[in-house]
Amino acid sequence: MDSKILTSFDFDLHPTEPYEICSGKVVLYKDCISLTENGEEKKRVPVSDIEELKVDNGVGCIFVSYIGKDGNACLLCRSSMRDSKAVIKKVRRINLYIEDNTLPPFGEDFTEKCPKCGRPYKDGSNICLFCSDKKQIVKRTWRLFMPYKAYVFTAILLFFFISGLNLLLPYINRIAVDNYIQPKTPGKVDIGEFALVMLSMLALDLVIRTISVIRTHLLIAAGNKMIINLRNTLFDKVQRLSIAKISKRTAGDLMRRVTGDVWVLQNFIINYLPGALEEIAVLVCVSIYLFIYDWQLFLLIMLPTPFVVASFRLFWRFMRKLFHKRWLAGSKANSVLHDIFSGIRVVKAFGMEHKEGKRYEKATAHERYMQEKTDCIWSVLMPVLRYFIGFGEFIILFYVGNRIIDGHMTLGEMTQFSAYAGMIYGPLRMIAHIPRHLMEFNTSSAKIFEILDEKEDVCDAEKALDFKFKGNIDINNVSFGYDSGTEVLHKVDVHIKEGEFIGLVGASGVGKSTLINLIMRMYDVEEGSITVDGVDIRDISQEALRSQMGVVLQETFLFSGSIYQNIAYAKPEATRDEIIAVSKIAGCHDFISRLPDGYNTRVGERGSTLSGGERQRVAIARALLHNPKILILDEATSALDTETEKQIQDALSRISKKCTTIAIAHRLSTLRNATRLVVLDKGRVAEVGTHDELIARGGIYYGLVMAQREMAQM
Amino acid sequence: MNNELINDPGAAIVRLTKENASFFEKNGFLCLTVKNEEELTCDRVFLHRDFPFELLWEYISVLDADNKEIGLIYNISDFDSETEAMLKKELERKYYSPVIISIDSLKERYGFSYWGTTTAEGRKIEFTIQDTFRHVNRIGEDKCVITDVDGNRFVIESLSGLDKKSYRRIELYL
Repeated sequence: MDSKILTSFDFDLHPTEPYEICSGKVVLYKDCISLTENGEEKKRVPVSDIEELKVDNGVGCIFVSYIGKDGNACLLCRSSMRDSKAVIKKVRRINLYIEDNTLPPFGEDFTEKCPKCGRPYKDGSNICLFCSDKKQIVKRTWRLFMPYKAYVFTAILLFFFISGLNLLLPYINRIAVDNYIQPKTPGKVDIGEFALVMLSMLALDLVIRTISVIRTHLLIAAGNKMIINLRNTLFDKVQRLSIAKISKRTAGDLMRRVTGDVWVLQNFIINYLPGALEEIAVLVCVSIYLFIYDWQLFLLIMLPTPFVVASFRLFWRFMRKLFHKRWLAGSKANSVLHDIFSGIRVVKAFGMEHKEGKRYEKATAHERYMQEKTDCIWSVLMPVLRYFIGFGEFIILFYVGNRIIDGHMTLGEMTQFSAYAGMIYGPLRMIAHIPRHLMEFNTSSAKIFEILDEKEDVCDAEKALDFKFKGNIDINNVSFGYDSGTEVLHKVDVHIKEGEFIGLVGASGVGKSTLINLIMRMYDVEEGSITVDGVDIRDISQEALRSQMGVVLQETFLFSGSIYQNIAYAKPEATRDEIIAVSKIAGCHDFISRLPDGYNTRVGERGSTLSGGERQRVAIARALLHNPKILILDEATSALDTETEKQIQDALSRISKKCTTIAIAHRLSTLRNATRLVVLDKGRVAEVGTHDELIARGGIYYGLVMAQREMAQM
Repeated sequence: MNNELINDPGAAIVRLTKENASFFEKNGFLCLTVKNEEELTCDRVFLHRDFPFELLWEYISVLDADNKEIGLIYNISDFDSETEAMLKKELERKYYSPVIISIDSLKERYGFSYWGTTTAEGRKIEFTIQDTFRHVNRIGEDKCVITDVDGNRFVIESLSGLDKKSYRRIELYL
């Protein structure tokens, strides 16, 4: 036996004992597959005896079995979901080896776990959020500011300048008290000088506020520019991601990244950061000044600091839990409301208004309870906390008062130090909130960087071609599967000539839509290749490829806007005559011209003001407008009545002579004009031929036609 | 319940009992011979809980390799004790959901929560959850099903039976 390991995968559950853990391995050698459990070989099966390996999904686990050449199946192993993706990919590789005796190279890195902590990466990401370095994230965000560093550095300098000026105010105040309000020698006060001191305070305050405005303006300008730049970069990146990567996230999740997370950054940078920096700058400057002037007093002022910070942190930790519970209760009540309003027709149709009213009442009652509880605790705890913080100021007053009585300090000095103490306690209260704000900021930054760092899997080759093709398509031995474990397409080999009308036929789930997704290069094939005019589509720029394709999908999506804008979507420069011509072909001109606002009719969100059939016809017109070389129709006329469908099919048939058309339809009459039909069955090409040839063969297509005829006769 | 609907031919269900069905194991799979008008033997059948959160041993669909329903087991106790044990084991094997008895640590970081738990078998399991709102599901008043980022399932049979610390940790997500 050749002992070289070709590939292997691990599994962690005992195949038959439900909760027994085991450390197992399936290894593929040149001639056999070996299975070991806890270091002991349990099974060895010659490759020549195996037809294929199969993955079956359990709940929270997967099963791998093999089907022998004799058709008998046998369980091989069971794995939890922890390593399921790697197992599924390896099983596919082993199956390719069983079939061809060649092992394809890895198309993708399997590392989906952090090498440092072993925790899984999020789908499509290669950053471990658990191990990611907080400092690194702050540094990366800081780098985003670099194009605007002149603004930022000027603003920071101004922060310290303002803090310095702020120190002057209590000092002048002290002069006013000691020299003019309560002078050492009463009665000898120059009112003019006193007025000058007051004026200087007023002028200083004006200068501070003016510089503050400039500083805030600089920071806001830099922050806004950076945020807009970041939002656009993020949006561009999301647009460049493949459908495979995008579909791993919901539209809501992507929206949250582009708007919500960026907003958190924006809020932190523009609203929170300037204030925080100013407070910190004041704290540093006042501390230095006080320490130099009277270190004993400084220590006394700083004495309650740990208590202030710790009590605020504790308070916030406690309150955060309560606020979270309140938010959760509110969110649940909102989702009940959303559910009821979205299905209001059903609620009314079944007369369930009263029951739904009760459901909403229950949800809001809980929300109200949580709100009352939070408000009550807040209103009690906050004054208590403030009282204890104010305690420190009383101690200072007592100490300073004693020094005045002893004659070691003047009243002016006391007002000066009281002002400085206030300047220290204010920032300290705020500092207690910094960890929370920083945490939110870091979370959102990490989520943004996660998208920005995502590897693009369907991307243009370095020298991607941009050429006008004719529409010859060769699908060469293509195999493909999604993550779920099942291979959707297996060695599909179809060759389509320019101008042909190909009908893709088969039951649901046989891989028809997957095949057209691969032709459009929404995903890259795992095995084999797809070429257009002899050029691999991976070597053609995606823009060139798709700009010469017209697509109408079963789920027709119209953007909110007018019918005119939707038809002209792929060719905004189209003339009105062109728009009307394609609308006539697509059979939508008649209904559009009957609408009060004609082509300017707004279609509403997702085209909601139009019926399913109308939306499909508008989508067909949109696909035809940019004169595609390859036209893809995925159940494009399924929502139309037979008469309208026939008219559109006849028109499409005329047009399709100029372009290659690939159409999927369950209603087989739709494909009556097809030059050839490709019948897919369980991901494989089962039959290829014209309608007459396939009927004569009496195979799958024949069965489908007969079933539909029986239905039609009913 | 509307009896007319239940008796409608379209709602006909093949009820599997010890009288018409016999289960056996072969090559690590559950197999079935069912005797109705004709005798049918399937080399591999799949058990599927129709109410997986509420009824663990009742309303079990028996599916063939093409996922077509062969029949329905109303309660696995309808069978003799040996078959009942076989069916129970097969269901537990398919529905792999370790039971959590304590939550030893729970850390939130960047929108993910990292859980350290102990299972009923005394095993320490760590897992990660994203979007706790969707993946920590309360079933009824006292049960909770958790799904991690990989798709593993974990069950807390009794929330009220958790120790105080564990409950305080999970409380935020309920």
